[in-house]
Amino acid sequence: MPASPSLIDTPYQSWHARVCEKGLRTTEMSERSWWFIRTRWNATALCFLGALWALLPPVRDPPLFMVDYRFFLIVGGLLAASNHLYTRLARNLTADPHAKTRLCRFLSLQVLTDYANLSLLTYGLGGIETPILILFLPHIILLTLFFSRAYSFIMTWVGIFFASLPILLEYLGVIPVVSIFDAARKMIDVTSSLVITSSHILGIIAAFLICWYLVGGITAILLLRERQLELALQQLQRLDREKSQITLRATHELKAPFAAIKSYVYTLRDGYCGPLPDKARQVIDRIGERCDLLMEKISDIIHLSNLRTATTANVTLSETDLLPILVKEIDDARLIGQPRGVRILASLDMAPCLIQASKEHLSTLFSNLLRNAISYSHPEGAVEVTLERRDHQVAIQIRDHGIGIPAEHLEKIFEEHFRSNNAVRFNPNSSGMGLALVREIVRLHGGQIRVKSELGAGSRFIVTLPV
Amino acid sequence: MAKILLIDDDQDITDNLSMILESQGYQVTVKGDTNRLLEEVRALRPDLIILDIMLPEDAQAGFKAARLLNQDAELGRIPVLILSAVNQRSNLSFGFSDNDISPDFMPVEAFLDKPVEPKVLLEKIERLL
Repeated sequence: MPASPSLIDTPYQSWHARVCEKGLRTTEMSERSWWFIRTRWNATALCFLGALWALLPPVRDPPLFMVDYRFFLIVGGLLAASNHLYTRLARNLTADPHAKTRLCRFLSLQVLTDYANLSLLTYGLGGIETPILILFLPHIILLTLFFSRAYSFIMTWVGIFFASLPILLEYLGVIPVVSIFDAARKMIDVTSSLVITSSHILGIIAAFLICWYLVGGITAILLLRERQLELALQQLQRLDREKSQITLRATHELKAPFAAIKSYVYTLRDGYCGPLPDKARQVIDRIGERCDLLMEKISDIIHLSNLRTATTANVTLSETDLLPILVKEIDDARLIGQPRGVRILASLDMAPCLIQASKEHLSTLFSNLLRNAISYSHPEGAVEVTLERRDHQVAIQIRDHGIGIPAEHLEKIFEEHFRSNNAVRFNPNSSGMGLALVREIVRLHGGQIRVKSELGAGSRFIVTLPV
Repeated sequence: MAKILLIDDDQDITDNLSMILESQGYQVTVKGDTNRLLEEVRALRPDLIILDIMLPEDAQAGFKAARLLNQDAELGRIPVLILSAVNQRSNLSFGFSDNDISPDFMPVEAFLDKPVEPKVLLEKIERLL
């Protein structure tokens, strides 16, 4: 069977749809890739702003610290160039649901480029004197979240290497020392101190490895939970499919015999087996009516049992204009009311009334309430229908002036098979399932139903649904 | 007179429908499943096929048969009328109608619910032939 119509387009469900299409980790990875690209554009802008700021005359004389604008320009340029390439690559990769391995490589490449740029920036901002090394940590967290323990461990050490490289090379005298502070103000020359350099590098190693260890531990637990949830979801989906099949079978098994009986009734009634005497015709009509009642009851029982086990997550709701559905049901109800002279007076604002709903369920909801109102109205009575829009709700009121409901039964009328004594006397053929169905449908749509009634004066059912 | 192939596993339904259709002069052939469908349809050359959805071999045998016929360049031209007591799309979705007819989902010409009024059935058949 083809897929059912689309789910409601809430942020959660559109995210969920993407997860179903690509898998949780691939979805998250492609979203994180885009996040890194956006953040990198911001970092590029900051680098160029930093270059501008470094070129401005110092506010204080002598300045507290001085930065060479060329480092900002070089890093900004490298970031802009690499990010331009990544944006193009990401467009292709994140659109491909089977690109998990390529996404992993892409993410690794981005992290390595960032390591190199951060290393250069660290050098330009004074190496040991700058706190910019902290920016290595988000990359380590990301790697630990998405990659295996072994791979993220190796990449953490690669991070340690890039973070320590400028400090180590400065200490060894391989590259010239860059200091952002005025030499005269410095208490000691930290760059040439073995103790400070080695303790700084050890600090980097400890911070990076602790970060890898902690995030890795949490990630392992989350992965286990994710797997358990995936298995549970698969099992639920399988059970749901089995349930659908069983329901269809049950419906068929229960309805098919009545369909056959009713077909014979039609055949006899319409004279395909020869003319019938009047008495026989009456009996045949009675058989047909009882068949209809039984088939209706069977459908209601199955429908109700399905609604009871349904949750808002597995019901397909879509943007629906409630008004034409209500108008159609009112038109149908007018025909049902005609034989007893029951009129339906509708007062509706005809502007579209869009809600998240299932058309079929809304039809069942209005049809049941209107049929009840007609069934329990006195002959020549009137049923009033109003629709009122409130802030984030729409309220539909169906009011009759019929037999009413005893106060002690008001809470029970939504229970299946429950029928108050006066209702049984007035309309013996009802199944007592209609209001139970109504309540479940309202629940699935996130709405509420209220009833006000006076014995002998009529009842008012008010359904409110979220807009 | 037109030939109608009636595919349904319920003998009461097939006997009853045959009685109605034959009274109107149609030539009715009954088949209880969809096995060897294409061969039998090719041999019979019916003018219309009336098809149930749920058959002994599969809960959706009628849909599958309709799609199979629709894919055949020659047999795909024979109008198909689905006549079924199962008017459920899923356990939460009820009520098929002619609106559900589509090349992917239900590639047939008409859909009717069982039990069907003889008058409604005969009108539909007349329109399809």
